[in-house]
Amino acid sequence: MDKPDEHDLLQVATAVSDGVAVDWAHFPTPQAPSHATAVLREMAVLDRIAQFHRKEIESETPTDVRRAQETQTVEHEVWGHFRLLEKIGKGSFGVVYRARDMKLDSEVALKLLNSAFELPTEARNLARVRHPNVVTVYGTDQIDGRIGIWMEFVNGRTLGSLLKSNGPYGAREAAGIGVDLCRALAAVHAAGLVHGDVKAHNVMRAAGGRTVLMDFGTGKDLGTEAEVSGSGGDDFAGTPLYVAPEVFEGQQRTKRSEIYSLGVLLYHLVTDAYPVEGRTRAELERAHRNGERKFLRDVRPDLPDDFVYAVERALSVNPQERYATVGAFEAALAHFSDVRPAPQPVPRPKPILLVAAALVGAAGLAGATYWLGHRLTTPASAPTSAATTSTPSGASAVASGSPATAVESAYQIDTALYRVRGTSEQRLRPGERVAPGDGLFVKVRVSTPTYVYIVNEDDQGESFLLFPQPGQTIANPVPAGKTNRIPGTSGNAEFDWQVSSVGGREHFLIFASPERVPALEDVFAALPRPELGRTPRSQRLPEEAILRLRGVGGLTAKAPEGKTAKLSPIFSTPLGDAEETARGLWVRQLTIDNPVSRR
Amino acid sequence: MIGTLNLTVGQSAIMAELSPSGESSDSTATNRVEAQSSIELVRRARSGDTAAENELCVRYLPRLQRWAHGRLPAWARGALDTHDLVQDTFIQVLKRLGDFEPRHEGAFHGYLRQALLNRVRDEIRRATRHAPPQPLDPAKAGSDPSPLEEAIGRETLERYESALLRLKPTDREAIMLRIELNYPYADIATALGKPSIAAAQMAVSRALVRLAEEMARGQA
Repeated sequence: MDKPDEHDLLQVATAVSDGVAVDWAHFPTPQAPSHATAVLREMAVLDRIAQFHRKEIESETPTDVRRAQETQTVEHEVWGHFRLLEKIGKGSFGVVYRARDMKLDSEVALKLLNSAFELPTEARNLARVRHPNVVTVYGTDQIDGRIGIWMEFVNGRTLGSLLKSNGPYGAREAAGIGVDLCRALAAVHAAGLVHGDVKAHNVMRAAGGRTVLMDFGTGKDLGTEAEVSGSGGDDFAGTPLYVAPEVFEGQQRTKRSEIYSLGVLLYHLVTDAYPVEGRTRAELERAHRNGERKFLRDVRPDLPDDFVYAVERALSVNPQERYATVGAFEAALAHFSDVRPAPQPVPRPKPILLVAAALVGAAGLAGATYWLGHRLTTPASAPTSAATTSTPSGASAVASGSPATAVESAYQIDTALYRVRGTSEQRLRPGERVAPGDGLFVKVRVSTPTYVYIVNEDDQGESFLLFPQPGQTIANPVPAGKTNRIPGTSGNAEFDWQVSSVGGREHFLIFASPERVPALEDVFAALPRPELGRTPRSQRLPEEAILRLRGVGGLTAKAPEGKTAKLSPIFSTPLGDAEETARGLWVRQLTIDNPVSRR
Repeated sequence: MIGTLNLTVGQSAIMAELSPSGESSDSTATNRVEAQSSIELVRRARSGDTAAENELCVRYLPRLQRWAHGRLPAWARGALDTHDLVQDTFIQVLKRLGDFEPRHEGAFHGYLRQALLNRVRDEIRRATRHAPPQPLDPAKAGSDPSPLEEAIGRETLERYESALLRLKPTDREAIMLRIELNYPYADIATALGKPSIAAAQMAVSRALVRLAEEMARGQA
């Protein structure tokens, strides 16, 4: 072919677009360069651009990371007595590998610093800190011109990654993480250091629920002012969104600026946003100067006061108004956590809401708000199993390990509805029947003290509040670690709810939250309750109350369809992932038949 | 049992025969958000609907984040990592959309891509100004290429970018969706309002020819 015509060009373009290999050498370069050959030459350039992007988009690892990885794994498949197994993270300072210590035959995380970096005080700093919530550094060396630091391999996911896949945390779990991090930072500060880069991506949640503070990349020695001033006050390796306002103004990082960063982290965990936001550092600085910030209460009106106050105090603009030490911050957060003590089966007390998030969010694909739980008795039922749903379903991130072990760290709730007929008790499953004379009760088992609300609604939208009720032997919060029978017992007597008439379908909605939900209580206060020996009148919830409930559940305020104000269709409407913001409220619904014709 | 709480369960007169299985825990209902077009989502997000915003993030961010990795030299990252940067830009774009009414999804994509490219350039400028104190020589930092720049050369990349800007928006969008973001033709057909996959393919090919011509013209 001498000279490509328009038709040929179009064909070549299609090949480029389709990713079909083009034999560019096949097109001879004519003696006299023409416009057409120049165009063809540019088409070859476009082919390379297309190929670059194709590789970039399709590849698991972006080019920049891959490049660093390739050069390092090819050249340094072995570094010292370590065999590099896989890249698990990358920071501005270098690449982190999962590696095998061939001398000790154990797995470590090995951080190889970019050649431009000298061994910072990082390793020395870290080695001075020994704490269960701080990653343990084993050693450091310089081999073949590359500096490496090897440390404990933490099998888990970063809070940033968990946040991304599970949505915002509840206050209690965030407070629990905050307590862990206060303890970690207390150890850091006691060694005379500031961490300098507290952020969601630098905190790992290890399998089993341990919180581990990582990456002292920017750790500064509190004693050596020169380091900060030496960099012209532009000590900005920390992530700007977490940086305290006074540090923007050139002041040195202190324990109090670290408390601010931790405040940002907790704020971020419960909102997935930041108190002060900006597109660039300049914007952030401006926002700080102008006092533009979002208060936690405005973003999350549902959070408990204690938590909000603790975080807002940590976020005070004036460092003197913050907690003076992480210990004081911890006390405020622990006070909040201590209101309801640690759940029994969980080694680390605080992690609460992972399940709620996963249940209604990620794993809730099958229908976010369905059934009564039956994990304990029917493990086969995946969609309703707390055990399965507590495993975060998002793509694994840095150093992801076996996610199944995260189960232990999650908030668990199991509920089941039982029918009492004569002397027999039978577990009810969706669609099963009840009839007048039957008694009903619910069994609830929770891993942490939990506020439970149970509402019955029929197809007409007539509702009763079944639980909580004054005078019952069991009250909110329902205690953890044992099977609770609701409505409760009195001496040897067991109360039941009695079915006293027939008609249609009955929906049982069970709302649960590790925190008291005042909004629910307000709404339910209006509902009639069954009383001993008396048949109550049922009542409909007003539409606005239902929309409000939906809001409390973190669901969108819009009712799915229809104009009747009913709880059941709203809470049984399957939600897309994006619709569930995982506020920590757990809702399940069981529908049973109460037909006219008895079986 | 001794005590009994009397509860009137069901006073309704519904007599309808229910299917024996009752309600199933397997939901067949479709995800309402998924079914919506991106344009509708953009409208909702603009009016403050966070669910729509989240859904848009899920749809757009992963590709854009990969795209951005190719555009940002390693030294310019760090302050915000690339993912944060893209997400941040994305949210800002949503907030600033104002009266922007995308003609079709491709237009929104085009708008996003340009906002991101501007942001990437801002970051590079910023990083050059505030070059990290010791580890990197600012002069070196300034010349350190992004992965794409390294792959095709700085001058070529500039020629490409400037020619791209001279194209009609629909051509630019077609190139961007297919060549840069590697979307399947079916998605491109939807995004550009083309009636078929073949029509989308033809639109991309024609846009490529015009782009190559424009680049060659810049050379001459």
